[in-house]
Amino acid sequence: MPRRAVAKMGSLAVAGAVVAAALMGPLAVPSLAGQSTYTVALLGEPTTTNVFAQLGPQASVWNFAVVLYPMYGALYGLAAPRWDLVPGLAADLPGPLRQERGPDGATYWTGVVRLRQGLRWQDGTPVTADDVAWTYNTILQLDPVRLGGNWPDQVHPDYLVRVEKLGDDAVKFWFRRRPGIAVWQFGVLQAVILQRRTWEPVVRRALASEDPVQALLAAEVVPESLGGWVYQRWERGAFFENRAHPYNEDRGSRTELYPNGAVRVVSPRSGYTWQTRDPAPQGEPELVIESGPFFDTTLYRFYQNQNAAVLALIRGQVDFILNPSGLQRGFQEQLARAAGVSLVSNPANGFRYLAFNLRRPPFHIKAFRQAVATVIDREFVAGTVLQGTIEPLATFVPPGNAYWHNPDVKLWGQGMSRAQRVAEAVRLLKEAGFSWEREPQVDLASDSFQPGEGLRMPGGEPVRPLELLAPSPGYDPLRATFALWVERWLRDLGVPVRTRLADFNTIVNRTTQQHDFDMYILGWGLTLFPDYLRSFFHSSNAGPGGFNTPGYRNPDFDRLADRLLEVTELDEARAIAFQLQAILAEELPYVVLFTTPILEAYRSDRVRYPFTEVLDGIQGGGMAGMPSLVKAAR
Amino acid sequence: MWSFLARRLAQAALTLWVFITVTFIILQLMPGDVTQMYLADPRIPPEVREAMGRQLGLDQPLGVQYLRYLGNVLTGHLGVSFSQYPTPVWSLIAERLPRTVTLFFTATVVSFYLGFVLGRHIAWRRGSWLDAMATGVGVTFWTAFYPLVALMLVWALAFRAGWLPLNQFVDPAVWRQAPVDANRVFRFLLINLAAAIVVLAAGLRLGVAKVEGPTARWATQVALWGSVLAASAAWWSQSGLAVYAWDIVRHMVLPVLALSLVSFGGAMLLMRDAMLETVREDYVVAARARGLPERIVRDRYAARNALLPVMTSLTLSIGGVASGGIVTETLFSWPGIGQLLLASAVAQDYPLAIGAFTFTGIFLIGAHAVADVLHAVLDPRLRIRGGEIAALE
Amino acid sequence: MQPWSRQLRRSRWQLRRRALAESWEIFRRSRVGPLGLGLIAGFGVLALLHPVLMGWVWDPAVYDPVTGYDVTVAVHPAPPSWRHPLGTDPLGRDVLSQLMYGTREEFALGVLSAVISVTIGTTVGTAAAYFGGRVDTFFMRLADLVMLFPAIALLLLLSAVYEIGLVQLAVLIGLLSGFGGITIVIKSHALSVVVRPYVEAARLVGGSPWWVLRHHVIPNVMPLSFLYMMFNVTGAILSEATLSFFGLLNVRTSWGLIIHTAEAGGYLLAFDQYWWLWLPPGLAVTLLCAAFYLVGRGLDEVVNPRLRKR
Repeated sequence: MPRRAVAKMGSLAVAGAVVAAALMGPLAVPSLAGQSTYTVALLGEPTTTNVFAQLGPQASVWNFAVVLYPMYGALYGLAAPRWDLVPGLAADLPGPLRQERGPDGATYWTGVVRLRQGLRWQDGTPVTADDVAWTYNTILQLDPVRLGGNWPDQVHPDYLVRVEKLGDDAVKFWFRRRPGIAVWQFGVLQAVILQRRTWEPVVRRALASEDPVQALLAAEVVPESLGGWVYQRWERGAFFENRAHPYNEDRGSRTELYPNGAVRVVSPRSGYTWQTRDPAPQGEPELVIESGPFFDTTLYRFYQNQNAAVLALIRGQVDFILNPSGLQRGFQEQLARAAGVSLVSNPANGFRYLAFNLRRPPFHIKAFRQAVATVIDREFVAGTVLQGTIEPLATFVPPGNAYWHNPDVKLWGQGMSRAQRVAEAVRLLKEAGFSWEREPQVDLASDSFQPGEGLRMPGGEPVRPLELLAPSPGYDPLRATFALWVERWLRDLGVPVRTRLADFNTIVNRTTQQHDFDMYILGWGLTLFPDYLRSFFHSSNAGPGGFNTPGYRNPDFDRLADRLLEVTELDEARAIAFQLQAILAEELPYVVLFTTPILEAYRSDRVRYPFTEVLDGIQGGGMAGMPSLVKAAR
Repeated sequence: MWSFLARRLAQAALTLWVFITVTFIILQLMPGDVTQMYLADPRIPPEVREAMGRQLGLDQPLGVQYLRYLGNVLTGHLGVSFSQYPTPVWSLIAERLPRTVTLFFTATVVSFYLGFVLGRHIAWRRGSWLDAMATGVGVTFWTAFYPLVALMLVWALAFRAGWLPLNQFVDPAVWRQAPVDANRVFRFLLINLAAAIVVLAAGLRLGVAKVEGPTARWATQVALWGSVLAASAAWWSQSGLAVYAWDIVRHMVLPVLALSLVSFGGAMLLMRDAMLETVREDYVVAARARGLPERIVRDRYAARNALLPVMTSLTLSIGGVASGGIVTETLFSWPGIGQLLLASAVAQDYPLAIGAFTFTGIFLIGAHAVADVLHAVLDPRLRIRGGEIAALE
Repeated sequence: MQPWSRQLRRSRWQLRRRALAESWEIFRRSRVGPLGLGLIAGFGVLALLHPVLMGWVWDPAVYDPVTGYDVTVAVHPAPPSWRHPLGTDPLGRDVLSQLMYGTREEFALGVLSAVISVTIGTTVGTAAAYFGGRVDTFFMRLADLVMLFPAIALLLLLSAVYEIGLVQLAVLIGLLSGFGGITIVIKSHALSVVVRPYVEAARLVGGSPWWVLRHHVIPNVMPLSFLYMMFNVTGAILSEATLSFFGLLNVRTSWGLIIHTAEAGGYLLAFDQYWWLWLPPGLAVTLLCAAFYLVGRGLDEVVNPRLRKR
């Protein structure tokens, strides 16, 4: 390069440095010394602080993480990590349901809930029965179905008629039908409670507008709070900041979990205590969870790709990465070596499944489905092929959801070798009248077999070529890989099957709208209360767009599933859920294949969680990284 | 001149209409719709999803949807996002616009300037080791797999070396107490940048070019650069936002570097080729024969005319820069229009995807029209009003 | 056929052969051209070798680029070894086998899209130059429009909407560049051809427009078309890799997808580890693209005499 050019560039660099230094001078930032901060990396962005939109069309993990979970509360909640039903704003468990004549002369079912005293909103005003009653009545007036999202499940308009306040410390719920446990304890009583003072003017303006729902969802509102945190700042695209609630009467409260299943809650500041009566607390608690917040602020930083978030964690710029699907396995080794970082792994509450189209042969024959289930060797794929990236799962309710999981259902081919599985499947098929051009030959002594060819239906005609739809490896390599193994195993049985790896939308469209499929592999994220069994397999959901894609129809199952929603006692609901699981394990409209472990990482040199073993991990179950429970390390 | 402009505008409008229509057709033909997104939650009953569809106007006939959309675009309404219902698409785009424009304006200027200077230089020294090396480096980066380059830069410069901030566009520690939001500072930065470029270009063309003698010219140039920088610095420190602007600039270094690395090669190679063509033109040969210094011949005779095809290609490559935005914005956690387009397309948020895409189209068509006019002003053969022919000075 | 016609044909053939030899000489002397050609040949060997290896040397159960899995290796991804010269990916598949299989796909993609674009570009460009008027205006406006489409953004939009495989992608890229930039370049070159005396003569003796185009105009712009074909391959391969990187294409294996698999699995965090997951495919993308570009530059010197060394 000529000297002149060098000189020019040099002088430019000097000029640049001078300007930079000049800028560096006044770079004093308002100090945040003495403020403790818990920093969470989010792999997406919140889109609104409006709770109506958050629970409506804009329901997203990121919105819930920064606003809904840290700021809002309900009458009752499920306490992690055991998911016991405990009072939130309520003082005690709900009173018994009674039949009562309403002012209009009709008969209603009613239930009374007593409220805690002394809880306060972010502006210092008390949380009252008026707020609670106003919330429910307003949602009913706006129509939860039109609000969309989670609202219909929170305020079941088919059941709930209105909520009446009884003085300042109790509310009475009026139902037109007897609400079951799904509607009562796991529905209405867990709906978020809003502050009347914040929302009344907004709702009034919305109702006066042309499209009230749209106006309400579009409203820009600084969210109120009765949780641990209040809104501080939202720098769009970059970060979201909450600060500790100034009037938090529950700070320092303790939730004690006893080995016998009992729970006790003690809140020293407000003088509130509550405990389960049956069983009553006994002996030493197995876990005591102290409620904070223990940090002055929670800072959520938004990253658009997981590499960025992981690098930030290693550099100590964030304390925890919130990712609903957990961290990928490739990060594991590198994070394990990073100083000050700890890893935890928990099973996800969900499953990936193989569905059959029961409207078509040969899937209408139960024995065929059972034979398919028998040859599927989850443990082999999980242990050998995918090596810990999946956890084998065969039941419709995962074992991690301990209260609702039925441990005694039929597991097909459990513990068998490959050859034994083929032998068992051949037996099942033969019993049902299937035959082969060339039957699979199994030699159990040497634990080997010769694959079969040309499976024939009980009527003698050959089984037509079948298609197995699965997401392409780009979308999900796990399901794609599993599908190819299923194809291989079915071919061993002489079933002419071909895997087609397609994009997600195509599969969804073909399976839910057109019912144009033989078999497919997709997945579900699940709730704790297992009413999803009804959604997936009730015959009323078998039409286009319904969730019962296999077209499973069983009147006995339907009856039981309906009852699951109607019973009012927890024990009874559990017994029904067990029966449903037993039926499904025998009938197999789906074969449940596996779930994914959720791997999470946090800075153990900076923060400490009260527990880390929990279904769905630290991010799951509404904990969203536990901002109110996490403490500074040391 | 005016009829030329009018014709350009009419063409731009027609182009825009075809653009919007094509986009609409593409999106309408796709399988599935937004209500299926809610399939992920098994507890939402089908009637709720139907209600959603009605609410969003999905049950209207296609023609009605199209007319409604066309009308909305013409009146500046790009519709309402599905996935962020009922947020208007325009507000989502407006929120991200300053980030995207700042980043790509800077990156385009840097990579174009770099390509222009280097291309001019290596063409003049054709066949030298410098030519071979610069060509090699240019081709390598030009054909490099961009996402990989971006990830590697983050890892090497920000993570391992720790010289630059890791991802995002602001540092929360700086911004938590900021009196303004980041977009305001982005807008000021853009104005600053545009003003600086105008002043510099005008100064170089009108001031420095008139100065005789290499030393004096050099001094004038330094003074010009210095005063532009000093004026900018003065304005920022007076505004009290200097710390915030500086924070954004720091975060911009890495993405701008990545974008420039992969795109300067194109401009450089083009400039080189264009130079090689112009050096054989009669007027350059004549200038040489007159015994003018090499540098003068290079800069004033050859380069000035070689600039034209490079300018043309630059305006056409703006489409490519917009595309590169998707990668950059995702990998550097710089949420802009490109990232919005990616996310909305994957989520099947038609109005948002069409909006982001339409906006990109409007932006490109506008840039193209501007470039055409610029070209006309610069190119002596196309210059509309008379005046001197640049090549002969 | 009359004898003089045969003779004419022969002499024309000789003329062409001589021109070709001359062009080759210029191409050879450009240095970059043969380098690119060598690289392409190298990749060609890789692509051709794959079916051979799969057929006779490698066990498909282990080395299949999509479904293969090596049970004898304890932990995947495994670093390079004799058994797996480029290691295995997170799903236990051989990286070298994927790379070689991908080479074939990239070639198919690049060549198909280039042929489509150049066929369209040459036909449309020469026709526009020859007929002028409305045909010209229409195609030039169309080219303006097509060139303005942000290609990657459009492809991304399309791939999110439709299931796009390699063939669809090749056709899309071919159409986009065929009706876009290539048309304009070919047209401006063809403009200088259609005014040449022999074209005029052919027209006067009553040759139909398409006959004149085919026999006199198109052969003269062919070298330029060929040049743009090379540049087009580069664009196609880079587009594919970028779309695959975001997991948006429905392809069995490709270079971009190898990197996507590594990235999605969290193996692209530290570049000094798991280098065999990103370096071979990343380098392959760069080298093959550069190769076609270099061949293009070599051709450029042949087609464009002004660029030749003084």
